[in-house]
Amino acid sequence: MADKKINTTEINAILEAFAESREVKANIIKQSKTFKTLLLLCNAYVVVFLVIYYFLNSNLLNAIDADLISEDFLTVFNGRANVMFWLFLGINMAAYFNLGFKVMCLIALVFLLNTTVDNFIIFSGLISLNDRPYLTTFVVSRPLFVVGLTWLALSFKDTLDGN
Amino acid sequence: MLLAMFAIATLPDNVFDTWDEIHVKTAMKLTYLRFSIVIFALLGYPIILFTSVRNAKFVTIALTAWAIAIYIDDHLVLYRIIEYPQRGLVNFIQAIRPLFLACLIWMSFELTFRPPEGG
Repeated sequence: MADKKINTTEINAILEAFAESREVKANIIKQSKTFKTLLLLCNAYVVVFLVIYYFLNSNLLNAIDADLISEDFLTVFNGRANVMFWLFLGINMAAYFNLGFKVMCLIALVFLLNTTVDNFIIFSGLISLNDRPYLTTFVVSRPLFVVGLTWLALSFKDTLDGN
Repeated sequence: MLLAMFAIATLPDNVFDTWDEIHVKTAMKLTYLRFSIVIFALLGYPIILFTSVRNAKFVTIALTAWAIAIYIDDHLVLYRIIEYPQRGLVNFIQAIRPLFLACLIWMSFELTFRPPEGG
């Protein structure tokens, strides 16, 4: 009776046939210049504000108003900065491996909108934006960032997933 | 979540074990905002679910992301800014919140990875 089990050579042949990695396939997909520019700008935005925050937190940057550096506000900014860092790490990894990029963008968008509204509610009665240039720049540029992130998700080509 | 919102919104003035009025006011304002979003989501979700599964997937993921975001906000970011009342029902709802999040995450994975029936 013939042995119907596949041998090692056949297993290797099958594995080799499907050996093309997801990363290689992801690299074949050419993303548009708009996407690349937006990804660069969004990363720059996050990095710049994280750097400003860590400089303020470490007393390396002169805070215009000492009230901004109160424990309560720093706790909030610290939490937001950490979440934003991990979200953008996830977005960049998703873009590199072409896996769940739009979902990551959607999660980041929801988080951004939630934090924007929460910040508005929490800080509206407590601080004025007039004499806080770092915070004002951050708040004013936030809608632009939201638009950029939405555009980034829409301009992404994910032919492998077909989502 | 509706129970939690209701429990917080209908509290008598004297049940807060509070030492800072601003913290309580902030918690109340956030609760009303979240309450409104939850009502809209509960009203709109069945309509989306029965009209388009693909859209339902994205809406579920968005709602899950929002639920996780407010959970992280409450426990890791805003814990010094807001103060929830120490009341039996509120404590209970807060305790089972991870279970609710697990259900939402499960729904998101189910809608993402399970192939459609008959497909």
